[in-house]
Amino acid sequence: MDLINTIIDNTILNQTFQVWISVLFTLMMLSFLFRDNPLYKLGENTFLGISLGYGWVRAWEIAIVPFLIRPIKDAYLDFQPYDITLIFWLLMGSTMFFRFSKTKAWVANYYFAFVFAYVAGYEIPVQVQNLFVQGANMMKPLFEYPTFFEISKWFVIIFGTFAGLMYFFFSKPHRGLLGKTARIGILILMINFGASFGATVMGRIALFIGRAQVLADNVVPSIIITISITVYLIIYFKYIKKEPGLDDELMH
Amino acid sequence: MKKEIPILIGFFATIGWYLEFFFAGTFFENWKMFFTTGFRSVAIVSLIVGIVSVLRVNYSKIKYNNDRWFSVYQMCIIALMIIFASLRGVSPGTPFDAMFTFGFIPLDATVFSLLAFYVASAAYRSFKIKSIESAFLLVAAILIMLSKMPLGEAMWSKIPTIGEWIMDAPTSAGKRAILFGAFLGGLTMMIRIAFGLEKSHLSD
Repeated sequence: MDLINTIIDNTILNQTFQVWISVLFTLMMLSFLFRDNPLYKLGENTFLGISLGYGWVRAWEIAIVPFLIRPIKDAYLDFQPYDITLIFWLLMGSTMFFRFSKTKAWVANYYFAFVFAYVAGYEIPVQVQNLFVQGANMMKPLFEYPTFFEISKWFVIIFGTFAGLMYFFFSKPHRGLLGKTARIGILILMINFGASFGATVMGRIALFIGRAQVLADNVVPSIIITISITVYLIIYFKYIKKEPGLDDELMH
Repeated sequence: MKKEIPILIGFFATIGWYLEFFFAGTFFENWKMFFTTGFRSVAIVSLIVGIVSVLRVNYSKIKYNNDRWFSVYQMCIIALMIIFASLRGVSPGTPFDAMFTFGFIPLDATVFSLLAFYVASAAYRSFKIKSIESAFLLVAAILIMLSKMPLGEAMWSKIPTIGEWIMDAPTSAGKRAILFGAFLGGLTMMIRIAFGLEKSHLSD
C-alpha cells in the first residue's frame, strides 16, 4: 500500500508531472492537425476514459448508492409494503436491458413509453410557461428603457421575432405583406446565424489561446515534447504506416 | 402487448401530472409521487445500462481486434479513475481530481480548440456572397468576431458597441423566433406522446 501511495504522490500529484502531462496531452491532440495518428487516438481514448471514469464514479456516489443500493438494502433488512413499488420500478427499468437482445428488444418499449411520457407530462406546463415568460420578457414597456440605443433594441426584438415567426408560417403563400415580412425574417435569421458563427469561432479561438498560453508558459516541456512527437510522426508515416495506394483500392 | 401496454403506461404516466389539479385528495398526490419515485429508479437503472453498454462496446472491439489496444487502454484509464476514487476519494487535491484537472481539461480544451481551424477552413471555402442573405450573415459574423478581439476596438472604438447591439437585438430576435417554433413543436410532440398518437419512440 505504501508503494502505491508513493507512486501516486510522485506521479499524478507531482507538480512537474502534472505540467508535463498537460503539455503532452495538448500536443498529442494538436497532432491531429497534421493527420490522424496513433498519438491522437491515444489522447482521444484518454479523454474518453477519464470522462467515463469520472462520470461513473460521480453517478455511483450521487445516484446509484443513495437511490438504488441503499433503498434495496433497507428493503432487504426491513421489508415494508411500499417497497413493492421499488421492486415494480426496478423491474420496469430492467426492461431496458432487453435492448441488447435481438429478438426481445420490444420489451424495452415499456421503459421508453414510461420515460418519454413522464418527461412529456412534466414538460408540457414548462414549455407553455417558457413561451409566456419569453413573450412577457420581450414586451417590457417601451419607456422603461433609458436610451435610444436600448429603445432600438426593443423595436428590433419585437418586430424581428414577429418577422422570424412569419418566415416559419407555412399555412399561407409568402406573397404580399406576409412575403415582405418573411423576407425581413430571413434577414434577421441570417444575422442570428452569422453572429452565432462568429461567437462560436471566437470561443474556439479563446480556447486555443488558452492552450497556447500553457505551452508558452512551459517552454522546456513544450519544446522537448514537440520534437519527440514530430520525430515519432515522421517515423510513423514514413516507415510504419503504409498508405493504401490507388492500385490497392482498385484491386479490391 | 408490444404496443398497447406501452401506450397505456405512457398515458397514465403523463396524466399523473395533472390529476391532482382536478381531483383533491391524497390518492392523486400519491399517484404523482408513485411516478416521480419510479422515474428516479428507472433513470438510475438506465445509468447502469449505459455502463453495461460501454463495457459491451469495448468488449466487442477487443474481441474482434477493432482498435483493440486503444480499447484496452481506455478500459485501463477508467479502472485507474475508479481505483483513485476508491483509494483517496474525490475531493479537490486527490489523484482523482488531478486526473480530471490535468488530464481531462487540457484534452477537452484542445479538442474543441481544434474546431477553430476546421471551422475557419470550411468557412473560407464555403462563404461566398451570392445573395443579400449571405451578405448579412457574413457581415454579422465579421462584426461579432471583430467586436470580441482587441483589434476591432483598435480599428474603430464603436465596433464593440455594434457587436453588443447585434448580439442583443437581431440575434436575440432570431433566437426567439426559432425557440418559439421549437417550443410549439415540442408541445405538439408532447401532447401526441401523451395520447399515444406518437409512436416513433416505441420503434414504430
